[in-house]
Amino acid sequence: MDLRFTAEEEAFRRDVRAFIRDNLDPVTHHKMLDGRTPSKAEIVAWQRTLNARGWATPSWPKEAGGPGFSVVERYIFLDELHQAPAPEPISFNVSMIGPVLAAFGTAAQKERFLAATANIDIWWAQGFSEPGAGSDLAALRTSARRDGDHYVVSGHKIWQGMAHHADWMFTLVRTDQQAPKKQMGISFLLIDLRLPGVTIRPIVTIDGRHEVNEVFLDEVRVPVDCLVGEENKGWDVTKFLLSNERTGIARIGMTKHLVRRVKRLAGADEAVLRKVAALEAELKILEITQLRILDAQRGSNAADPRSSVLKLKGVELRQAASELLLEAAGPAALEIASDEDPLGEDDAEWLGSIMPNYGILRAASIYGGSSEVQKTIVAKTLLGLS
Amino acid sequence: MNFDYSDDQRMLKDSIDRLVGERYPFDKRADHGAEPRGFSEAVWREMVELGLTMLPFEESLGGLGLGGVEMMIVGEAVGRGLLLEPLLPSVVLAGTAIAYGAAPAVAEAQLAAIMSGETLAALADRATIAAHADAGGIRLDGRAAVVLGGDHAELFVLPAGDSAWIVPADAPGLAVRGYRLHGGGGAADLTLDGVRVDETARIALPAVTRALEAGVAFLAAEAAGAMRAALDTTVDYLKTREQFGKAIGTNQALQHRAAEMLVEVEQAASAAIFAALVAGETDAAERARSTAAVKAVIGKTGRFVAQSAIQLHGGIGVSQEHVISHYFRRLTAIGMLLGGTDAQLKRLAALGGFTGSEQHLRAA
Ligand SMILES: Cc1cc2nc3c(=O)[nH]c(=O)nc-3n(C[C@H](O)[C@H](O)[C@H](O)COP(=O)(O)OP(=O)(O)OC[C@H]3O[C@@H](n4cnc5c(N)ncnc54)[C@H](O)[C@@H]3O)c2cc1C
Repeated sequence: MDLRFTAEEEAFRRDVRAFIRDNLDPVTHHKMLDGRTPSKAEIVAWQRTLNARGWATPSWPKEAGGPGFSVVERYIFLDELHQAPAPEPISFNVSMIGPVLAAFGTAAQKERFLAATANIDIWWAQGFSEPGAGSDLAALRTSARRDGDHYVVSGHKIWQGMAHHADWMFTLVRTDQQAPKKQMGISFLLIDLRLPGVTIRPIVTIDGRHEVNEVFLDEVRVPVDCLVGEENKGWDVTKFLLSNERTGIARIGMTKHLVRRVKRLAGADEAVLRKVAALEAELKILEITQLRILDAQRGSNAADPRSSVLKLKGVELRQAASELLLEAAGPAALEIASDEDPLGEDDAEWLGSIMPNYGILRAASIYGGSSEVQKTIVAKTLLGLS
Repeated sequence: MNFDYSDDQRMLKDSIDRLVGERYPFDKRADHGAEPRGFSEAVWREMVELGLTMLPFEESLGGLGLGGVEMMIVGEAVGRGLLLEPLLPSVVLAGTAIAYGAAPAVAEAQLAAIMSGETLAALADRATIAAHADAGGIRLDGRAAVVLGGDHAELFVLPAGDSAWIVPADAPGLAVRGYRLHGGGGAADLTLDGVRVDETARIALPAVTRALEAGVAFLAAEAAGAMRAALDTTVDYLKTREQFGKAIGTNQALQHRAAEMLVEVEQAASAAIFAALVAGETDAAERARSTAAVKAVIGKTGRFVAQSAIQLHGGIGVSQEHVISHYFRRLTAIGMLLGGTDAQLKRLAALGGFTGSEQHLRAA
């Protein structure tokens, strides 16, 4: 056994860090350090900078235009982005739809979408959840009726992150109302959000920000060549999408960034310093768990059910860190501020994002498989309890 | 021992519950908050008419001479409805400090203005201000941070040296930067540069301690009301929200989490009652210990209940259109205001806690 990365892997880490240092726009970096959300233009610019370097799509296979990273390189790359901190590649484009198109898309779809997706010429939204279909995703009701060369789609999607920035949405729709199991009548459809019948309504969240949306689809006519995979086989595509890209799921680098901020703000506050030490102890050990799982994944692409362990512990620690940051900042962090407020001095800690981020991070144990759902998976698949 | 409300207390509860029910349904709250001072002027007038601003003060000072239990009743309703009106900063904090600590004639005059609702006052609990006597009287220099209700206060009570001082907001040398707070209400950061006061403005420091204890008791009641409401809302949701073909509340994992919430909600209710009853205690050390314990417990319970309420709601719990996200923010703020949990525990430890180390049977 050996904990160390190889010399090549260490060199790769240095390359990534140097690249970020030299190429990340200072304003974007400042916003990330502050915990603010960068603008659409800033996110796109960074994604294009990464793309020019060949690093925009760390999880894509080489044939699809990816960099051909090993699992370890992928991990190191994301970890450096998280710790910098720099915007991570837009997950809807890079972690979700890209690999799906690479695996299930027709040649024409790959040609039409992959490069544009990597370069954010197309910004994607994820149109899965509905008011009645959250954890129970297969209960979705948005319907698609075949009419000549089109599907006619009607329904109500909710929680679409960044859909107001998006050009297209990958969507789950019901194409067979009579299917014997609810998973069997679902299809995976790409919808151009500029089509008539699409309405996007903002949802303001606990952090005061507008990042998620409702998407109403009213008799939207979607060309049949926007179907991914076979009709009524969308659930297979969905399972692939949801189990894909679990490498960085613990988000350890993001938590380290929060720990750094806690330490800067805590000064000599003994109580906070002791709690941050307790958190770091667990975080360090989680890193080892992460590496054990990574090592097992070298050379195999099979989903590891232990990724639920990473998600559960990773979210717990990230939420704890955001809470500790709030404690370290004290009541001054209760002042309502806006991401649009002027940037401060270079090294000054900005308190404006701390309370909003503490609030919105509660959602991290709800989306991407809620903690309750993750525990059920662990109990069933890892413990054989059911 | 008796934990029942008296008839008068029940009547008070009915009237404040009615006020909250009629004026503060959740869909009206955002409008109230959008008014220029961040709360509803109309509701504030109604609270004055109901006598809520007079409630805790001695009759000799023009008040109603009621006690901690009555303030708890009001606080719980304020927490349940997430009211934004400045009862806590102006009446409970600044008002109590003035009532206990100012010269009687000054107290009477200032309280008359505060009880009428016309004057808003605020008390600084995080201040580093120096007081120097010189030829011109007393000169104050320094700063105060996150002064609750300071964004629209006409009057400040500012601890400096061995006393606190009543300072009008327009005093020369006083700069006020007001802002809104997460969870509702506003605050201000103050800078004092050669602010002048005279002896009539003096408030005895123990009165500030009394005021902060009253403030913690009010926050405890507010938190208990907010937690109970968050739990009720959550339990309703568990019974009505369906996933996988059944109510999500049929899942034992969620039942247990809700049960844990109830345990904490009961603790919070007890903390509020304890704080209300201890407010009348004459032993200052006992009050200090109790206040620290109360504040630490509501901080911890509030955090757990708020986090759990969101978790059990799923995505809708983080929407600003849902009341749960507002209970979360208010409970988070309550945990941090007037001394956070760590600070309270440090105090409680320094005061020796409640139980000695000596063997029980050896004690008298
Ligand atoms: C900030 C944010 C961004 C999001 N972005 C997107 C997006 O871009 N695209 C998209 O399609 N969706 C998105 N979502 C939606 C997300 O996937 C759902 O919120 C998630 O699937 C949970 O569904 P729900 O909110 O309906 O909660 P519910 O499923 O109703 O869950 C409510 C509670 O019940 C629990 N529960 C449910 N079923 C069980 C069970 N069987 N056993 C035990 N407990 C159970 C849950 O864990 C939770 O605690 C986002 C959500 C949020 C909050």
